[in-house]
Amino acid sequence: MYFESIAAAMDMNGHGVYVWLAYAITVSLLVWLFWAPARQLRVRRLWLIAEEQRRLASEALRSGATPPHDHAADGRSSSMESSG
Amino acid sequence: MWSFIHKLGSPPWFFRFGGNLVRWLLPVTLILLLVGAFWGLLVAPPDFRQGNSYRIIYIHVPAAVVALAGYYVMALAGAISLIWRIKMADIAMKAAAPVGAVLTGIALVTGAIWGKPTWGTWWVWDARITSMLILFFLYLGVVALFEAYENKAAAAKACAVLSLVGTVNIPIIYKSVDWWYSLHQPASIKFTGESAIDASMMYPLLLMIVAFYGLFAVTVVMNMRAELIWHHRQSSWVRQWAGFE
Repeated sequence: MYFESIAAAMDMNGHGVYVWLAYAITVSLLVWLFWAPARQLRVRRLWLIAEEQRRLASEALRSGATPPHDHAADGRSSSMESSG
Repeated sequence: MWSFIHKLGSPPWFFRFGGNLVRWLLPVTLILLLVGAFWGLLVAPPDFRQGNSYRIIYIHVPAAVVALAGYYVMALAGAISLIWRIKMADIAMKAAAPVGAVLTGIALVTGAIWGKPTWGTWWVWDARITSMLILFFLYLGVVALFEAYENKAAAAKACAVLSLVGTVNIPIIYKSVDWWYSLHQPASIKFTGESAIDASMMYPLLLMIVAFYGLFAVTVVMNMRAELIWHHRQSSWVRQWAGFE
């Protein structure tokens, strides 16, 4: 360890502001880089599930059978819960 | 070997392979980044002329190195897309562009912050810095061009041409510190001959360069998987993945 104390590591003989600012900006950009595709995959999966529920509901309507209650809303809420 | 390359072009196979790759490469990359940053920030000695401000090198150089290498990856995907019309190459190109843009942005911003205490200015219109700024706009151009077209094939073609034309800029960036009189320091690590950097500073730097390569691979594959799902949302393997059928 080069620095003797936490305060010395923060200050870095006056250069601390620059160094820590550069690292903070980098960390936030890298976090976004990892987070964005993970979120996109999750959102798209939920969209696919919702779309499938809509398709099933409209098929049920077209076949003439009146659904006893709203299956679409049921399916949507349960699938949202199961996939977190 | 050829069967592996052949399989890379298969969307369901790549989706599964990419998922497994991310599962082990992501934690390895994060550990390397943490160790490298800790080493560079707190363990390595200060520079005898620049003092502690030089510690920005541990993110500045890896980001710049991988931004340049990543451009070749994107342009190669563009060439494959143009020549063989492989859809997976379009997806790789689209996935690499935003990652390259962020890495180039990191190199520019950390360079500006490093420049303030070292050169006394945030920005100079120097050959190295200006050519890096052009690289940043090339990456952003590819990102924007993909969004500008309704027709996906036309978008991929335009992006492939732009990225191939832009490769002219890469050797200019590499050589800019030798060709022009520049404020920017020349490369410290050399493959041939003696490096101008002490081992105590070079090892954490090499570690961070490896970590940034891992970061590039992981984030590009993650982007590709998200894109594949959307591209093939009608296919049975996507429907299976989403939990029906």
